[in-house]
Amino acid sequence: MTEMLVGPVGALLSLDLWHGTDDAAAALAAGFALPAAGRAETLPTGSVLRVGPRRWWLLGAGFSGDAIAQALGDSGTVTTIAGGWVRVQLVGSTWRGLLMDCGLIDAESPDFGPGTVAVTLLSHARCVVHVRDAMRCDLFVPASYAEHCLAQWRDLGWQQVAA
Amino acid sequence: MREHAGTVPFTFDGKAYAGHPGDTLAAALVAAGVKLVARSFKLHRPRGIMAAGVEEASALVTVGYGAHAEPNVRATDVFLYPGLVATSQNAWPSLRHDIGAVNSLAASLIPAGFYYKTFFGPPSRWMIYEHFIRKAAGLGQPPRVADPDHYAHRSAFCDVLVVGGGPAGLAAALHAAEAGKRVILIEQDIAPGGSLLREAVTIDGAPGDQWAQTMVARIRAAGGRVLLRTTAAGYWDDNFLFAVERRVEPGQPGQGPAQVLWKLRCAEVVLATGTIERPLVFVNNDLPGVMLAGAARALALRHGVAPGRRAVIATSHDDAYRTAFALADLGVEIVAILDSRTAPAGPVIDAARARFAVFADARPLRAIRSRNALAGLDALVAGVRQRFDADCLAMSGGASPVLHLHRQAGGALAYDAARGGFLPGAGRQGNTTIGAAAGIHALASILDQADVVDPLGAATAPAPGPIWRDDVPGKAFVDFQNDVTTGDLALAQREGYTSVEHTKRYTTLGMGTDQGKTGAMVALAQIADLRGVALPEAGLTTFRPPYTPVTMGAFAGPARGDHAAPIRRLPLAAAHDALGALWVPAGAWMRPRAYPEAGESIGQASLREARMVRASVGVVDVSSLGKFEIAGPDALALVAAVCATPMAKLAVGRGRYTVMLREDGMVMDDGTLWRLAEDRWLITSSSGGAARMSRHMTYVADVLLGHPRAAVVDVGEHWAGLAIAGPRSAALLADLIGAPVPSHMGLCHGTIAGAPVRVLAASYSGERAFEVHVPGHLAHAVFAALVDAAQAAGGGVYGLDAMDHLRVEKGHVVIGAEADGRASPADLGMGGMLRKAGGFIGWQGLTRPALADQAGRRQLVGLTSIDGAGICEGAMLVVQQGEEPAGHVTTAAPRVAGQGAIALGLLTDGAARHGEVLLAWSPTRHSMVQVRVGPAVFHDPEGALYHD
Amino acid sequence: MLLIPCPHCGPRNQEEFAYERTLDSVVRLDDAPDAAVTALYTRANLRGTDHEIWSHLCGQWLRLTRDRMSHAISAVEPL
Repeated sequence: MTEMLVGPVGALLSLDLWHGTDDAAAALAAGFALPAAGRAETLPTGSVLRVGPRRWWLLGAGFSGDAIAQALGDSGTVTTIAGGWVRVQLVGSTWRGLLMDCGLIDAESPDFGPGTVAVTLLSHARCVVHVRDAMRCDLFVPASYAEHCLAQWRDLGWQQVAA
Repeated sequence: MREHAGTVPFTFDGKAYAGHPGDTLAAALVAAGVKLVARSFKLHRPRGIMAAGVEEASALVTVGYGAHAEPNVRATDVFLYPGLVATSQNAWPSLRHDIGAVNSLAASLIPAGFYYKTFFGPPSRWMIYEHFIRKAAGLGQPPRVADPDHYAHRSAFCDVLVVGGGPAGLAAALHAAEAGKRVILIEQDIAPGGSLLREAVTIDGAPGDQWAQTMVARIRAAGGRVLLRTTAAGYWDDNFLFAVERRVEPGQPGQGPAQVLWKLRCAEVVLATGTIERPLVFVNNDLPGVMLAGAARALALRHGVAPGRRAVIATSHDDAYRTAFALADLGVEIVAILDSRTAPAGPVIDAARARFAVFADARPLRAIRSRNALAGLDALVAGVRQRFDADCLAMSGGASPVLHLHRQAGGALAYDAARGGFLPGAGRQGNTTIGAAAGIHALASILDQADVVDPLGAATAPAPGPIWRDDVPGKAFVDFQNDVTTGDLALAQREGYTSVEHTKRYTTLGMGTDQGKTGAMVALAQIADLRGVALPEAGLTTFRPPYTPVTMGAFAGPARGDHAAPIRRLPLAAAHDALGALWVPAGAWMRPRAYPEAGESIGQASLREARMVRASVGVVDVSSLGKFEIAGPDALALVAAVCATPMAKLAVGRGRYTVMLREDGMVMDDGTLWRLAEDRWLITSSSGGAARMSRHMTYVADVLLGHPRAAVVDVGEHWAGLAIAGPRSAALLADLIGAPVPSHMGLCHGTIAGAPVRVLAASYSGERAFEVHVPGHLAHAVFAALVDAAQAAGGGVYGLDAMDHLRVEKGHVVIGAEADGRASPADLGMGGMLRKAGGFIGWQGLTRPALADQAGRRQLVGLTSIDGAGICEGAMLVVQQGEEPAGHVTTAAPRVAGQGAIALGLLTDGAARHGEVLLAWSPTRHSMVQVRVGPAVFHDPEGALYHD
Repeated sequence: MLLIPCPHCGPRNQEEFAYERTLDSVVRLDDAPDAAVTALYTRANLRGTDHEIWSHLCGQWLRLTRDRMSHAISAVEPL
């Protein structure tokens, strides 16, 4: 059985680099790795998720938006977006089933392992999926859709517990 | 013959029976001696069981009762469960005494194309026919109460999808699974085996059905997924298929989802869909007791049920001989085998001759009816008419490969003259077809690794019989479900509906829930013969999904009731509920419409709220507005392309109203534009336009501007927005943030109730007003503080309707109402706001002559009700009743400051018609109000109230 | 439903994509008015291979070379 722990995302920054920027140089300046397409990097300060062609999410209170923006100079920008997302942590061995019930993405693929990040539609909402390990997966749901998604997932038999 | 007293109780038309576990309803009914199962669609002819699977065209019944009832279930495609309730359809007062059967007598009055012929003549006559036709022709009734069942959707991905769990499919699936591929095998039956379930063969020493079970276990052990009772019903682009899994049988209550709709994306698809046997065409070939030879064999070998006591086999090929042996072994007397070939020969025929009377050059002419069932048949044996007594006629006119999925996927067809039909040609999506569906019938060829023992020798390709044109009165059916006869086909040809597509529409051939499974190829052969062309030249109708009927519940899945469409909730939804909000859907959002007090109507509440804003202060939730931050060295270039108003000289910390255009020059959206820092901007847009604006801005950046050094970040959900409007708003807000508030169109930062906020001094209401932006997850405390302060100042919350009243009075346009996609900025009185130098999206469109020259355009006007009566939204504006409309009312509102009613409208040459009196006329809502045209602003035209 | 290879995410289902327009109907900001109006209202509407602009919900814009009869996608390039 898989449980859903629901809560705010905490600190969340969107890091956008211009096209043509050298990612390695930007990573050096920012002080943390910038994962490749479809991947996440877990750091002591939090997680870095690649969520778009030129966009990374910085999750966790350890990131200072101002300091990173300063370090990046004219190669990118940082924007606070924490208010727009709700985190649903799936805990349990069958979490892939929820994605297959509500989405159309190959979450059962052997390639969909820990560290995978995917932006996809779940119950019609544009969600960000972050695979933590075999027993854990984080879903980021747009705040306005969270009630709809959670109600539907509960109706489908997925159990919501207090975070 | 097996013991008939089974252990699974069920009822048919109220009478109790018992069948065996694993029996289809059809098998159990035949076992119980029930021959008459249904009445046909149009002619109400008596029908029984003809087939053994999903190809059954006639024996449609309703299964289940009350809310669980499922109409039009094929009796051959529902498996017994205790308490199954089946009811016949399309018969009144009873199956046995069906009044509608008079249609059969009056059949000459309702020929093919009858329905279309009723269209000629006066409509009143058609209405009478329509009533009659609807009553007479029909399928089962859907339940009138909500479906209590649950339905799930599920996605799956695989390397190899195998459709069909017969010998070919099982072998292919195991081969792929053992090669380490992700495999899904789909079988529509409850048991694997396909044709093996009706053949007396052994494979690797085990009976066929047991071998199939072993294969399934091996596929699963190798990591493959096997879905039984699952039908692949549609095959679309890029190997996307959908399949419906029945977790419970039709009408059966159960736990969990009744059906699962699988969405399958596959790297490779293997179709092992087998064949469907063709009927023979002769008079009364639809009588109960006449069935397909393979179906009779399935009854005998799979279910142990004898389809009759005295059977005749009529065939055009070897395969149906197997039925004779199977029936005889069950104790059925084989009266005769009628073989249409002049000199059939071979080991099977020799074996048959040793036990049965085999007639060559022999075929049925007419089935003889007695008490709604078969009593015998007249046959033509070597040109001589001969009568046989029989209560079962097992017929076979060849077999058609099941090519539905192959064709849905765009696959080619290859005509095979020997089989008188089509084999699959090249698959367009790399899909392959194997086994009998590909024309390979011999088990030893399909299972070349296995030890196959078939006591009757290798199966051969079933060849079709020739077309016979006998002068025997009566009806010979080609499409049993739609009551299409050879006579109907001939009539269609005579009346000029020669192409197969025309014939289909004229005769209803191949329509209905059956989609021509048994009848299509038979009919095609007839049409080709009538036209004197080869079969491929007669053409073929389209194979449309679904292959078998799919219930609406399966398609809907979990998207029903509250989940029918996603609903977007405001971050403060709970707080609004606590304040007694009445919700209204606005696009995907639910927004507070008003907060009625006890005894108040919505209109009264909204007017009170609007007046409260004009008198003191009000707070409204505008969180759903679109909000975008554009940051980077090239941000200005991006903003300048999107927004049509000047902004280059906008100072940091200042904002202004802006409008965004489509490329054709029409207004796409409007909002405010703020310079947060030298190279950081905030654009707001309408709630409904936010998604479009988000896409539009990234299109401009990535496609038009080629990746400027600027990012567009959609912060619409991040920031909750609370607007505070009214004469007391500035003082209230200054108090809360403990600092002076910005002047109109300025911004500042601060904290309220401990949360960081951004304050934008912008107004849509005509009052001094502010938008307070606060991160959504921190918004509750800020909202509470604002509402408390507003209430202390004599104000409170207001909803969408009050907001609308206020903006109409101020003459602010709204996207979707005044800016309806056909209005240019000039039409809305904003022509002067645009950048003269152009350079924004839509500048070229505005140069089109019709827009450059304003004459004849519908322009924004204000409308005042002359007698104070409310104006109808959507009403047309006319000079006199009955005239062509010169415009329409876009939004109507009561007067907030004062009494009466006002509206905004779009009126041809409206800017030049101020003072004119028109009628706002809505014939559909019986409303006609005299209105005076004027400027589109009723409140504080100079904007004096914006300044402290 | 098409399977469209997003240059950033890999193959994804069509429901995650939005069709924008054909390449020949792109209006550049510096196009002359006549050219812009022609691009908007006079389309080739090819029977066969055409170039189309789509976007994926990850934010990637792409140019598809697609056969409008068979739906076959022969090339995808990031935009």
